[in-house]
Amino acid sequence: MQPESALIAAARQGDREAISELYEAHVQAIFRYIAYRVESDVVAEDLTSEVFLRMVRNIATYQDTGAPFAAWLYRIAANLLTDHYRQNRHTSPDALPEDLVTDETDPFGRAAKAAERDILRGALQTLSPDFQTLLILRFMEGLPIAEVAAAMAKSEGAVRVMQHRALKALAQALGADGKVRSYLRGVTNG
Amino acid sequence: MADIQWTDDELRLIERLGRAPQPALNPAQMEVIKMSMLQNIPTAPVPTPTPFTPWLFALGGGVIGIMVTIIVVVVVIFQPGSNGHVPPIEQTLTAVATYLPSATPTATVTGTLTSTPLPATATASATLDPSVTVSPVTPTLVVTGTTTAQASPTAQGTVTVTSTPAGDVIIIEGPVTNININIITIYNFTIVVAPDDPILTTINIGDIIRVEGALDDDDGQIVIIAITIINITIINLPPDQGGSGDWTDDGSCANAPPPWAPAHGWRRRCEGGGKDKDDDDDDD
Repeated sequence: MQPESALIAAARQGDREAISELYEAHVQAIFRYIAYRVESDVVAEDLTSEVFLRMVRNIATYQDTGAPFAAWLYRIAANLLTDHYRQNRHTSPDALPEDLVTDETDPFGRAAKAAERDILRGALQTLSPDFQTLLILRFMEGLPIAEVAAAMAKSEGAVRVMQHRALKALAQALGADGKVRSYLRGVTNG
Repeated sequence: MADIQWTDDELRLIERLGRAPQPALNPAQMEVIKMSMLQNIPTAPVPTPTPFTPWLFALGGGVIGIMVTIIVVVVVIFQPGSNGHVPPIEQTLTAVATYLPSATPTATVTGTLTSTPLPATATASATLDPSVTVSPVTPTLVVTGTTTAQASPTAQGTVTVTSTPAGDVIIIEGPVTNININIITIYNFTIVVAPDDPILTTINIGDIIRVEGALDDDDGQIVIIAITIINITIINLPPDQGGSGDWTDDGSCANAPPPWAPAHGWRRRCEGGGKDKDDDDDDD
């Protein structure tokens, strides 16, 4: 596999192989990020497709600033989500589709995961877009603070401080739902 | 995350988020999105040919022509020795003014030609050579010409000699040193007289003559007014030896006559000379 910078350079020239490699490297992460922020996986799939359409249309103007390429894709996704929220302000989350890929073979386990995902998604979507992005990228995707900061176009210090507030807000959202209230007991800002 | 202080509840929530279900696209969905993406790869932009616009072509040609003209002018102006760039030129102008029939003086015109882009006008002062005993002729020469501004510029033009005030008289006086048909030379001054002037039949070399002339207001030539033969007789007087200048024989031998005075018999009487009277008269 070529280094990502070489892939980006080739993709800027319209190289289909390079574009395919970049797509396969990032598509699932982008889908996960979107899926926790929209009401259904169908919408997430559509928005993911749109992210990569914008990637191929705009990669010729992409400026390699040293930040991870994924950060650029997350910013595209965040902009699409902003537009999506604006157009679908009052829609409620749909039921999870049955064809989602999961490694869970136990039907009860699969149902439990679906329920957990539904809880988390519901709680996240009560938060601000920045808190959603931070919590998903930092704690679900496990990205380092620098990469999260690049994706959010914020300083690392700002992200560092924001993550405590985001966690507190998420805990409150989950507690309000009556399912994780115990997590909030004794919470102090650290 | 090691450098961040988390509370236990935060750590539990972070752990929960880390274990959150990871939705994923199945391969079929991935392929659909991929195909859609690859079909939208923009092709390399092909430059569209600019439609032929004759007016634009003509305008471009005109602009290029103007630029070339400007460049040529600039090159001509700043090229050393070119006609366009005329540096300050200092040169000596020499003109010959012929004054016929009375004389042929030479006018040497020396001046500074200040040359500006052509044509140039120069004003020069002049002295007449030979400078005669003359007077109040102060000719002013106005040199008007066109310089060909080259590395060694030359001045071409006409010389106009005028005199101020008009009608001044030129007087040349001296011995005739040479006569060549109708050209008389006095010292080094050459005077051309009319071939039928009667003066030519009367003057001889050595004669002292006086030539008077005047500048003609119309053509700037010297017109001879009169030529007069003076023929002055030169008396070579002995130099004064002192004394009163007169000597009288008072009969005393102590009163010797000065060398330049006739002795009138004093030497025969007082010095005993045996010469005759005529000799006595000539013994000085």
